[in-house]
Amino acid sequence: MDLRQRYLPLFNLNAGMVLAKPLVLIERGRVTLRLPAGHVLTEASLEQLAAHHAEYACIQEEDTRSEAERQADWAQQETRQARIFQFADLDSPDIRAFYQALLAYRKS
Amino acid sequence: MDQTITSAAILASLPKLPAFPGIVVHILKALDDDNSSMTVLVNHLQRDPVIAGRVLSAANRSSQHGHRALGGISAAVSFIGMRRVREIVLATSLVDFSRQSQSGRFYWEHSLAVGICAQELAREFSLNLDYALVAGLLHDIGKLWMSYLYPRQHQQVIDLQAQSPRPLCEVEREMFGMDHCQIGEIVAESWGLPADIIEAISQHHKPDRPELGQLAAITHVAEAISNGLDLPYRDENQVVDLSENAIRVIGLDWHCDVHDLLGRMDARYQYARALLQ
Repeated sequence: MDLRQRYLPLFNLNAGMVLAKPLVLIERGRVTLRLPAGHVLTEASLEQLAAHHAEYACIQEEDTRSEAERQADWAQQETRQARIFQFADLDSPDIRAFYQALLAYRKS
Repeated sequence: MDQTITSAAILASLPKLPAFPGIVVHILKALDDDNSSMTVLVNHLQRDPVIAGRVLSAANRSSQHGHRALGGISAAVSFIGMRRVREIVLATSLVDFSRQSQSGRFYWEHSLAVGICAQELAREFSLNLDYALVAGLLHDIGKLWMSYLYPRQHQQVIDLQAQSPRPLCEVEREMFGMDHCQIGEIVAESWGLPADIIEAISQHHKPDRPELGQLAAITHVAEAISNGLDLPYRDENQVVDLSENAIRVIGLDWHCDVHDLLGRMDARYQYARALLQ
């Protein structure tokens, strides 16, 4: 089973979703909530997240796309990003590295 | 050139703009003292029912998974935290200001995106989060001035740039005699904003100066990232330049894992936009 990671705002989190990364909330230098990677969100943990002022979480979910659909999605992302950078100097090492980091994120 | 704008003319025109939310300057001045910040906030919010209402609305939305409806500012501060209330006050008051100034939806969404991206860069490199948020929210304040007071000429700038891609500031200088960074600097100075934020507003398109400050560097990079991530989506989004000097000033290394940084920017922007709608 292929998994993918997504960063979602609090409003889009639902019970049953699985944390891809540990979630640690800190206020005034103190840890106020800590949930481990692999934690399955419940209604109670969603209330905890809201009560401790979480804004987002990184979740992992099954990538249900077929290989063809995945390739099509990636091609669409590449096309979009190439358009955004159409006037940028991709020979510049910094812009090239930025481009690649963004593309890796867009494809995730 | 259609207009020759002078500093004196810009200063004389400021009363025509909606009143700048003074609470922003007060919060930034009181940042280092939590007790003072609390007093400043409560005093201002008690005198400003519009902003207080927006804070309560945002606080209640952020607590949608909870069972309580927050009825007062004190409850909001204790429930969502002093830091969050301060961020909400800064963001709502500046977004309200841009809405009152009849700027389009894209303007405030773009400003919010640059603010959030700047804030996440500041978090990554242990810099002041509130300064970064405000610098991002206000980085294009010169454009707001242009569009509010000279809408026809501002639209011409947009049309000219769309027809033949050239640096925006160059087209603005031909049209107004000044670009939006220069105008923004004059406006921000008149509002009494901190020097670092004024520099971020005036230098975010001139990031190659050796003495470039960290906040200006962060604002420049944050704008490139927000456009690269389509925050907000607009067909015309472009990344044309990313200054090597600004990257060096911040200490950012694209070859390290920036996936989490980009994810935080993306998700926090979606969250903040929903709160402020």
